Amino acid sequence: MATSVGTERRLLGPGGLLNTKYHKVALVVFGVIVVGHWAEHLVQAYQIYVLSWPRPKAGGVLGLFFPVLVSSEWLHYGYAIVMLVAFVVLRHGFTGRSRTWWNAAMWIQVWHHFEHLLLLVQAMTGAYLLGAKVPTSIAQLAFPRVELHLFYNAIVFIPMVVAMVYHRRPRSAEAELMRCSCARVLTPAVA
Amino acid sequence: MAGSAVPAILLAQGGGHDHVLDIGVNFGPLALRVALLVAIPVVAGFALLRGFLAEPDRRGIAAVIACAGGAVVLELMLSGGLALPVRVVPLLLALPAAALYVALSRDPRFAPAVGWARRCAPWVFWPLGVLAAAQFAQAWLAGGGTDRTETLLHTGVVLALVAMAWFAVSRPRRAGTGIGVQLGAVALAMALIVGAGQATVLRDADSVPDVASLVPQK
Repeated sequence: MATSVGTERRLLGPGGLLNTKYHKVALVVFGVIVVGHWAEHLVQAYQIYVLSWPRPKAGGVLGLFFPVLVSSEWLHYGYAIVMLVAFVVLRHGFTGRSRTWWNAAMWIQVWHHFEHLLLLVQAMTGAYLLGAKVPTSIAQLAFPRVELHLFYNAIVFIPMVVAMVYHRRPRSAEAELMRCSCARVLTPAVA
Repeated sequence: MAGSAVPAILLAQGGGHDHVLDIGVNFGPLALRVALLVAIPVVAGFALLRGFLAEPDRRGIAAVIACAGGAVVLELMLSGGLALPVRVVPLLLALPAAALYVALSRDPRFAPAVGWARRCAPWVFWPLGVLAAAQFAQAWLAGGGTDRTETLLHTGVVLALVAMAWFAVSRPRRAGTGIGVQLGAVALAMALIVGAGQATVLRDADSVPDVASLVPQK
């Protein structure tokens, strides 16, 4: 395998430690955070739609013990920021197809983050979008009844997973460009 | 204004993310108005001066487009509504985003499309500019009360800002087209400044929900 582990001392950037030696560890940590967040929301959805709990009471798992995790928009915004930073920082480790999918997830997360920022600014200023009665996101103007947060998380998560799968199973040409140790299986290059 | 007295706000997301939005701070819309009144002169100033100065670099154009896009978002928050269907609003935000991509793109794969978009930019600018001018004209000439005027002005400002974003990336092939676009942008820029200023002062200071007025109430 042509992959090589970088020896640079820089943490960030194309040759930084987070994109070479520690890329695999960073992706695992990031993946655990993302999956944990997903699990919380799925439990919350189960509580609302299957157990018919009132929405304010449906706090997932951790939210039952620490309600602030659900009620604080700062935490939701903080999570959006963490995701965005991870997408930006870790993107240099991806090559070929995986980079394309990772970039797609990153740009969707840019928009998702913007929507959270917009909600936060509206709540902080009391100036709601187009005179609405409550803080409103842009997507709600076009799709008022969808499960927006789950939808956003899904459309970020799917390309992210595809990127990770391609990253773990690179073609030979892609593996040549990799400087991390993430690759598990090499798939033959397509002529 | 620190907000210990500010009530928690129910965030109606329409889905499983519904929760009580706990912010703990509320400083009112003044900051948004100040930001708007900074961004709009940047955009209008660019349109007024472009014909007299050297062509700015990519980052300069991107900054102008970012100001225009940001001002659109601020307008959406500060207006009580627009004289447009709400489903058009995402499109009005997508247009400055597309202009920003055209301004910043260096990817050779998309170079032909970017060049084509720059040449076609006047065809985005003109319809939006004419629509904006029509909104301003209705507001200033047709009457209809303060609320109606305010709504028309906000609509005109939003449309004019989106038009300006595409003016910033426009590079028409013919000199005549370029001069025409430049003159149109100058006229629209002046209307934009006046319209934004009037719309801002027409908005009742207390008309934003859940915000305590800084002016003592009788």
